[in-house]
Amino acid sequence: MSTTPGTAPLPVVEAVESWFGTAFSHLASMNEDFCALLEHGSTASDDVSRVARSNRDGLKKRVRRYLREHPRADGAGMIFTRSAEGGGRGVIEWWERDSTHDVNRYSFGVDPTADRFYDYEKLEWFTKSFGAGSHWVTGPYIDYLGVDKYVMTLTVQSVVHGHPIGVAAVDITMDDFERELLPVLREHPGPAALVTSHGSVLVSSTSRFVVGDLVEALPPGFTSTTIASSGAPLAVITGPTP
Amino acid sequence: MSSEPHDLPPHPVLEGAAPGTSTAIADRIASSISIGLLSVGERLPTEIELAQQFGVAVATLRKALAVLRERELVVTRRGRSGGTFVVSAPFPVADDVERRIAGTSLVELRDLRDEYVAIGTAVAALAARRAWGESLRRLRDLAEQVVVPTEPSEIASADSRFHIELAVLSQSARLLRTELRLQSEIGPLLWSVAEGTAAASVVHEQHLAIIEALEAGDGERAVSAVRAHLEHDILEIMDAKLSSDALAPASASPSSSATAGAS
Repeated sequence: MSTTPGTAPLPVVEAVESWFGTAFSHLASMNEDFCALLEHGSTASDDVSRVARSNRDGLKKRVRRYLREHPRADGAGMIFTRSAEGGGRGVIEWWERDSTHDVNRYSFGVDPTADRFYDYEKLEWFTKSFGAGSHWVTGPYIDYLGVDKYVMTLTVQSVVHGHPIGVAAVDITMDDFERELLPVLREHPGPAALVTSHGSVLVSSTSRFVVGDLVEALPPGFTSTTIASSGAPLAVITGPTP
Repeated sequence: MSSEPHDLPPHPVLEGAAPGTSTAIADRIASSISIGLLSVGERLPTEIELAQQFGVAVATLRKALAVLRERELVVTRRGRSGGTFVVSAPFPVADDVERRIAGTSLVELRDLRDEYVAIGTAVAALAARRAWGESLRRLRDLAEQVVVPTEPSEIASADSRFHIELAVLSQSARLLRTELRLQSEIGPLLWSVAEGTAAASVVHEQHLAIIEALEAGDGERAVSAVRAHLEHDILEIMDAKLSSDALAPASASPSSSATAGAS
């Protein structure tokens, strides 16, 4: 995919960039609070699972606030490494909005010996942010054995006592993401779509690109502009104005 | 092959559990799941209905559901669309498989194959245009898991996991739900009749052919690789039925006795 250098950024590109900038800054600020809460509740010699459980109420309160302030977020929380600790049970502190808009803790299959183990450390949203420390947007994907919904996940690395211990994340269902971003794309006079670094369509204002499909080659007249200011690489594809 | 809850078959009490106890009831429900009478994704009837059906107190039935939850066969979800749902199929015991296969006609098996192939090929075509490199590496990992175990039950769950992941990669929630149901109906039966590790290595080769097509982004090749693979799977079950019918008297199964004269 090509970019168009030297021209003023399109308003749609700036709008998408600003949406992700805000989304990641809110996630990062929740993450800072998470890490501070856990750092206060534990000592540097504690293992990850002890650190993770050191202030569950504090995390829950902070997530509740986040979900109240972000009605489009489906769930949010913190996911801890298990392999760094020799691979015991996984630890996931996750809260999800239910059908009555109350917030409930979600429990995952974290026992690695069980059939329905949610092997999250192999999933992109974990590896990119925990391993490489990047801000990352994973999706769209069906979170099988996880929350079992069609979502995208925004992640940032969590560091406590100077060590990466996991990631903070927020899930947005693809339906809600469409409700949020389609109006933004439609401000653009021509067709527009947002794709991940893999080329997966996240949302599109044209039926040429359908959510989930990979965009391999741009149709004639279309250009792709990379946005990375939020730390997570994405691209906005725009077509000629009719 | 799914059926209404009141069709739960009369079932001999399994060893170790006295009739009417929560464990015996849990075993009966588990056995219905293992042979596909209840499939993954289905919601169990309410506690009151189940208690009536088994003729036990609601408290006993609740204990039986707790046993099933502990065995990770069902989950109970709260809320408006809540209830107790089947999430996993246990591996059936040999007697159950025999009864199931004898009681299932070739017509039914062909119809099952038709749906299995229709869903499987649709899933493959979508995965070919939606799955990116990293997610295919995960599929490859899962494909390798099929040749690790030696126990049919473990091969069955590794094989199902591969097919479920293909459906996950299609990104279609509806197709995934259907695939989950099909896997719970077909997987345990297939691996009860298949030749263990020898069959697993054939399946492994077929899985790799599917992955290669997906890696090449070649939807058509992926579709034909999946079709060949799934047809082969159901033929194994059909062959097992034909050879077990030839060995066993038709009256072995109550549901086949009525038509025994015609076969």
